Order: sequence, then structure tokens, then C-alpha cells
Amino acid sequence: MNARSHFSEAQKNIFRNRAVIGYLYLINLLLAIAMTLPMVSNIEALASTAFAKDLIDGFFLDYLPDYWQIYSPAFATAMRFSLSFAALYVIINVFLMGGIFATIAHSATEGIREFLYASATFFGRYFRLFLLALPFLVLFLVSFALGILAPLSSIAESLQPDSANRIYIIALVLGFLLLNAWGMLFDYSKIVLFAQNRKSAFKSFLSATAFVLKNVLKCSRLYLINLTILCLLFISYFALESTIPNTTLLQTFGLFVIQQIFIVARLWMKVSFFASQHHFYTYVPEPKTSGLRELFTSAQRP
Amino acid sequence: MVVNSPSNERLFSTAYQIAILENISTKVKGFNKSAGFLLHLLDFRVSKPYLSQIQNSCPLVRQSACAKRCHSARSSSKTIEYQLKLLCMQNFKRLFFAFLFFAFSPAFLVAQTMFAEPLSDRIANYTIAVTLDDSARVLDGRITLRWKNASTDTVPDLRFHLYFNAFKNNQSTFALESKGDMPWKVGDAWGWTEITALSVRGQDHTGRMQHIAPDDGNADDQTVVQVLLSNPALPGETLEIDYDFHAKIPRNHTRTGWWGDDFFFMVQWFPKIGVYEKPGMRLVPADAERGRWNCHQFHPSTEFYADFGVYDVQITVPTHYKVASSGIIHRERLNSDHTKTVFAYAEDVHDFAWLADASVQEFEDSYQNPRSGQIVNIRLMLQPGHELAEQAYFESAKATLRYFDDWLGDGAYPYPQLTIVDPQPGSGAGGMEYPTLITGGVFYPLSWWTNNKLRIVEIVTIHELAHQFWQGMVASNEFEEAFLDEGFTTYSENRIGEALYGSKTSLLDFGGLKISGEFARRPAYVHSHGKSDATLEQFTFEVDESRNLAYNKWSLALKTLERMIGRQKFDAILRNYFQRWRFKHPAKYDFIAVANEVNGESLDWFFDQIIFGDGVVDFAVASVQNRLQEELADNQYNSEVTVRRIGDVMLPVEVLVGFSDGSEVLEKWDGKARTHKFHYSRPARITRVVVDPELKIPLDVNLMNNSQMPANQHVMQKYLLKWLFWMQSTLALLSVLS
Repeated sequence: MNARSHFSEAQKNIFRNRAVIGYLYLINLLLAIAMTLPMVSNIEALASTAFAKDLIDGFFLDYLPDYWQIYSPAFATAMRFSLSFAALYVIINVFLMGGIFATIAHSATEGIREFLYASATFFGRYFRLFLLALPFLVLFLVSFALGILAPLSSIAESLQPDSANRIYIIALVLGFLLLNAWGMLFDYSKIVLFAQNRKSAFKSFLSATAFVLKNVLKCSRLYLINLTILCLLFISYFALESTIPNTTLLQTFGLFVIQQIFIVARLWMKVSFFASQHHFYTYVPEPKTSGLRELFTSAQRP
Repeated sequence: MVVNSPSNERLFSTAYQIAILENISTKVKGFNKSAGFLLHLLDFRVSKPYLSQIQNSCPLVRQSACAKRCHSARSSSKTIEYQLKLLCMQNFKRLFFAFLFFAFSPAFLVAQTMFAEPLSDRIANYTIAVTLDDSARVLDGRITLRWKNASTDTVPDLRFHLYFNAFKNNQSTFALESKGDMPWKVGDAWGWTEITALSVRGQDHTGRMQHIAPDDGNADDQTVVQVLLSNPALPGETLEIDYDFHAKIPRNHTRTGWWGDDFFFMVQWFPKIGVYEKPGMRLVPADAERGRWNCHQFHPSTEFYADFGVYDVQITVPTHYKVASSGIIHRERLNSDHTKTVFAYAEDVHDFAWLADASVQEFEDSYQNPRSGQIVNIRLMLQPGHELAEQAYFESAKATLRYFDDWLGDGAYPYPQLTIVDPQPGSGAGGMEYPTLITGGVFYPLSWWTNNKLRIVEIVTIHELAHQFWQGMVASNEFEEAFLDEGFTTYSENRIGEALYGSKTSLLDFGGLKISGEFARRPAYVHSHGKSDATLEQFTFEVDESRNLAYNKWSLALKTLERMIGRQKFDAILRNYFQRWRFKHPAKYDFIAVANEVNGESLDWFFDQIIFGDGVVDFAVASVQNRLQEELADNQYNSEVTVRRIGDVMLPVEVLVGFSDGSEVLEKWDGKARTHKFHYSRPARITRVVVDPELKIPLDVNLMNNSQMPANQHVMQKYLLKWLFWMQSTLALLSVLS
């Protein structure tokens, strides 16, 4: 099977288990609503002024200073509240990881009970993997800053602005790819942890690294298919949003519907990354790499 | 026209004559000899001090038969005149037709506009020869200053600004007031100026110089030097002051200095005489016994102030530099030592700036007034790679010149050329104004990434070009009353920006975000603690505070005044103020006098509070009450609106009261009492109240409390749904971490 086949099989699997997307969307929506509630009074204050009619045409920052000097404490409170919910959302997502993999690992539709049971079973392990991923993320970001951004910036300084901006674009693309390399490694770590029912997050990470290094082209190809579709999704959304005026109530609601479809699609793609990579991982014949030793001998594996 | 001495008030500069002649000579081969004929027809009589200058400067004259004869004779002006006439007679027919042709050539027509009559009183007239040593980052110059004592006083001393000395040590007033922000404090970044020799009326005065610190008595500050005259300057006398100076150029700070290896932006670069203010001028009482020097030290919170005059400047730089300057550059001469000398000339300006940049590119365009036909040549010195900004510079400059012509009267900008310098990135030289030369501001990456939707280039160009009118011509004292130039300029910038790019989008219209120029100004004032009055001298303020006062408060004040008395009347005031005070030095009282006179009734109620007071404007809706009169039929309500003046400033203000039946009442309140109530009895309840519904008072520091009305449901839904989506997106993004 090629990367495209893994991708399409994964889509079929997700479609069969689309309830998972529903769960993820529901959680996203509920927490976003919780984060929005503290802003109601702030927005109401703005909507109760003489500027309100201007705000229908667009978000004019002219009113911000007056608004800010009165409502900045309330805004800060709302943001702190939102940050708590954002942290909670991340934890919930870690919790749900077991359920997501349990669902996409089986072709048959899973019920909510099985979904939550698998989530609870794997939560501790996925949480440890999450804790492991964070310092690696910092490491990748530092590598990006020191290894890519800094040298390219020094090159850009000696160039003319147009060329310099192109250099910065290249730096951003490389940074984006590096970030995705981190994402891919830890996606496979999650897959290994689930598929091999590993207890150790670190060993899962090592095995996943070995697997990715061994199948780097295939892994990258599959990852890029998902990434390309995600990028196309963003481009389509922004193109659509820029063409839809938002000055009447109907347009506002129409745009909101499009935005919700966009959120659902993003969540679908999140699961698609896992599902297609999981499909690929299970397709590769045994034995899979299982630890540090294999990492350094993986090149010799069939 | 008679040119008999350099100090003649009606001097039509020899340099400019040369410019005309050389323009001609470059157009027609074999026309060299016509130079003399033109001089004759224009009735020029060239005086002796200018003879060598003509011969050195103008190969045309030097090579001509006329000049040869003149040169051999080393003669007086009469001899030259004789030789010119002789030449003219010999070539009469040929030269006559040539003259007709060139008399109507564009170069000649432009020449006629600068200026048949002096536009200013030309107090300080400089002839400068300066050489740039780019490797040592040093300037050496020789100046002949013809300074006129325009007062009735006997003036015992002269005072000069030595601005570069602000960067000479870490105890200068500039350094102390910068509070540690002294980037010139390292390596080759220091800068200083010294006058190495000075003579007045041919008498050596080098030993009669002493540094003084008139503002703060700081003995370590050397930014002002006083010259004690051996014989005082008599009333009406024109002193000829010759001096040599040597200057170490600082690394670019406050727009002046070097940057990188090949960028020199030379402003405040030469020892410049202060302004002797006679009784009745600006803030000097009319009944004062005598006038006084106005020659402040250099402060980080202030800019400049100088008398108008003529600048005839020769700038010698290594050949690989391109040079731009105030006024016009009429000639370049290659020297044998790998240098070139650029001949620049400006009339009726109070400062002279120049640029030497090895990598800059030059572009030209022009603006022509559609009514008068006046042409302003626009010379753009653009950094390589900034091509995206070229059109933005030209178009905004042309639109601004047009706007001022329409606004203040045709020919508002009388000079034949405007030079725009796009400085090297990082040099810190952007966004500044000098007579007939401005520097732009390119945050190139931002312009690039927003596809020029962030109009930094345009807005900065408009702002700096507006300074040509408010300070370049209406030359207020920026040391003491910076609000008179920055405030007027910022007001103009906002007004022109709004006219050109939309009232809500003049600064940014990108990705759904819209920012007007006013937004960029108002927050600083609204959030500042420096809502001070303007009676204090500018340099007594902290830097940020002075900016708030000069730029933000006063631009908002002018907009408030415009909206309160109406644009037509306000424009009449500005037009009169400009026409009356251009090429002069007005103070705030002069503007107030014009405003009161043109308005027809006193506006002191406004100026007393806004200029001379430190109160703020803040009106609010205090309460709205509706009482249903149940004993009456038809749902009759007794309603009451209470409006409140929170700020100390009392301005008349309108109050819009809206009722549930859709009717509206526009009330007028004089704004004097702390609170005011409006009562209504009608079969409808009050649904909304807005103080200052047309936003006539942008000075109001809190617009959020100006209204009370039910929330606009559409706005609520729109922004709540937007916020919800942003939160959903944020969460979806964060899920990557899990």
C-alpha cells in the first residue's frame, strides 16, 4: 500500500467512527463557550455605546483605548479564566488519546463507554508522554532559533529587503517543517504506546523514533499528505471568509456555520493524522523496533 | 536686477545664476558665450568677491571668451561688465535667438520662481564649503555667515548652536536628560563640533568664544557657544562672520550622523547661529527694553529654531557617494583627488540638511499644480530593495502638495524642489523634516508582508511634508512651543490621510483590522499622565510627555476646534495663519490672535483651557430615568436624563436623546455645570442617550461613558460568535500539544 492508500483507508475508518469527531467537537465547543462567557459583559459594554453601529462594518481599533482603560481589568480576568480552560482542554485531549486510538484501531464502531474506558486506561501513559513531549518541543524550538533562524537572519541582514524577506519565509517554512517533525515523532510515539501496549513513554518514543528513521520517506510522505490537506483547508477557509461580508445578521450566522464546519474539519484532520499513521504502522510487518538498541540498529532491519 | 554684494538683501545668488547658465550650457553645444549675454540682459553686475567663485564653479564662464578676458584682467565688476557687453555685441544675433529659446525653457522658468523677491527677511545667510572624510567620519568646513541685526538693539554678542556636542560626553544636558539612553557612548559613536577659527568683520574673535548653558547652567554642556563681539552689532548692521569648524560625526542619533560604512545623514551639522528675538517678537514683551538671544541647548525632547536665510553650500565627498540636500543641487564637479564637489543652493529656509549615501538610488517625479501650473520637482533617494515604496512616496507626496494647495492656497509650497530621503534601515534617520528635505519611514518588512496595506510610508511622508508648512515656513520655536508645529502637522497628517485613504483606514486596512491615523495618536494622550498645559517650555518636559503634548494633545485639540466651529471657518483661520506667518516666527499668542480675528468672536474659552490649562475633557451620561404616568392614558412617560462633566474642561456639547417611538431630540449643553438634567414628558420612553453624538470632541478622554443605550444585538452576536470561533481555534491549535 502506498501513502495515499493508508490515508484513504484512515478516512474510511474515521467516517465509520465519526462519533469520535462529534465527541471532540462537543468538547471543543463547550470549553470555547465557557471561555466566551466571561467576555459577554465586555462585549455588551462595547455594544451599548454609540460606536456599536461602526463595529458592524469592521473591527476599528480606534475605540480600543477608551475601551481598554475601563475594561482591561475585566478583560484580564476573562483571559485568565480562559487560560485555565485552555489548560483543561489540553489535559482532556491527553485523556481522550486512548479512546481515539482504541476507536481508530478497530474497524468496528465503538460506543462511548468503550471510548471512555480506553481513555481512562491509557491516560497515565499518555500523560507521561505529554510531559516528555514538552521539553522536546522546547528543544526543537531552540534548535529552530539557533540552527535556522539565527544563521538565516545574519544572511538576510546583508541582503536587500526583498531577498531578506524571502530568506525569512524560508526560515519560517523550515521552522514549520521542524515543528512537524516533532509532531510526527510524537504521533508515532502515541501509536507505539497504544499498539504495543507499552508502559514506558520514553521507550515508546525511542521505538517511534527508530520506526520513523527506518521508514522516514514513507512516514514523511504520509505526513505530508495530511499536512497538505490541512493547509488547503486553512487556505480555503481564509479565502472563503475574506469573500463573505459580515455586516448583516444572516451573513454573521452564515459565516459562523462555515467556521463550525472548519473547526470540525480541523478536528477530523487531527484524527486523520493519527488514523493514517496508525494504519501505516500496523501495515508494516513485525517485528517492530522496541527500544534504544533497535534505534541504533534500525538501518539493518528489513 | 542688481547683484552688487553678497550681503545685498535683494541678492539673486550667483550660484543660482550659475545654475541657470549651466542648465543652458548642457542643452546647446557652443552656447558657452551666451553666459555673458544672459548676465548682461539680466543686468547682473558681478562683484569682486564673486568673481573667483564664478570662475571656479562654472566651466561655462571659465571657458568662455568673456571669462578668459575677465580672468586675465582679474578685474573689478565694471571690467567684467564691460567684457560681457563686448561679447554680447560680437554675438548679438546668435545669442538673441538663443536667449529667446532658453528664456522659455523649463529650467529658466523654474529659475524664475526661486525667488524674484525674498520670501523671508533672510537674517542668516550662509556660504559653506564642507568636506566629508568618510573614513575618519569627520567634517571640515569653512563658513561665511552674513547675519543681520534686525533689531533696534546694539547686540554685544553672538550665539551659536553646536549640536554635535550633545554627543561629546556623558554629562551633556542631552546625555543627562536621556537618562542612560546614550548609544553614542561607545567606540566611534561619539560626536562633537568645534569652531577652530572665527573672525567678525575680518577681526579674529577665536579667543572671544566661550561655551554657555543658558537653559540649565550645565558646565559640561557645550552645545551653545557665545562670541563676545569686540564691537557690538549695530541696529540694522549685517555682520560678516567667517569661521572654520571641525566636526567628528556621531553614529546616527536623533537623525544625525553616520550609519554603516557609507551612509552619512548630516543634519544640525554646522555651527548655526541662534535667533536674536527683538522686543515684540514671539514671547518677548513688546515693551521690553531690549531683545534677547533665543539659542537653547540641545535637549532630547526638543527640536530646532533658526532664522531664515540663503544657503550656498559646496559639499565635497568621495566620488562614490550620491548626495542629496535641502534646496537644489545645481552642479557636481569631479576633483582630482577622487572626490567630487556638489554645489547646493537654497533660499528662504532656516536649516540645511544633506545626505551622502553610496548605495542609494535616485528617482524623480514632479507635481504640477493644475491651476497655477507651478511645478515641484520631487527627488527621491531610495534604498535598494525598497522599490515597493517608490510609488507610495511619490503618490503621497504629490497628493499632499495638492491638498495643501487646495487648503492653504496655490503655491503653498513655493520651492522648486522637494527631496525625500529613504534612509538606510537601522540608521534611525527616518521620519524627520528639514526645509525642502524630508526623510521617510519604511518598516519595509511590515509593508512587504501587508502588501503596502500598512501605510507607514504614506503617513510618514504626509507628516514630514506637512512640516514643510508648519515649521518649515510657519517657523515656530520647536524648543519652546513644539505643539505649534507637531500639533498642526499631526492634525494635517490625520486629515490628509483620512482624505486619501479613508477615515477609518488611513493607517491600516489589512486582514479585517482597520486603524485610522487618529488611533495611532489618541491612545498615547488618553493613557498619558502628561495631559499638561502648553505654557511650559518644551524642554522642561520628559521626552514621552513632550511628544504627548506636542503631537497628540494638540492635534486632537485642533480637530476638536475644527468640529466645534465648523471646517469652513476653521480652514479660514488656518489659511490666514499660514499666509500671515509663513517665513516668520509665530508664537501661540499669534495663532490665537488670528483665530479670534478670523472667527469673528473670541475663542479664548477654548484656548484658555486647552493651551493654558491642564484639565481634561470628559463628558458622560450619568443616568436615564423613565417613569410611567399610570394616571395618564397613552403610556405617558416622565423621563429625565442626567449628563455629567467629569473633566475640568468646559466645552459646549450636544446630547442626543432617542425615544422608543423612534423620535430623537438633539440638545445643546454649555458644559459649564458639573451636571445637567433634561426633562421630557411624552408617550415614549427614552431608549438611548449619546453625549457628543457626532464625536466633535475627540479630546474627550473617555468615549465609553458618552452613551447609554441598549446593547446592539447585531454587534453582540457578531462579536460573541467571533470570540467563540477564536476560542475554538485556539483550543484546536493547543490540541497539537496533546
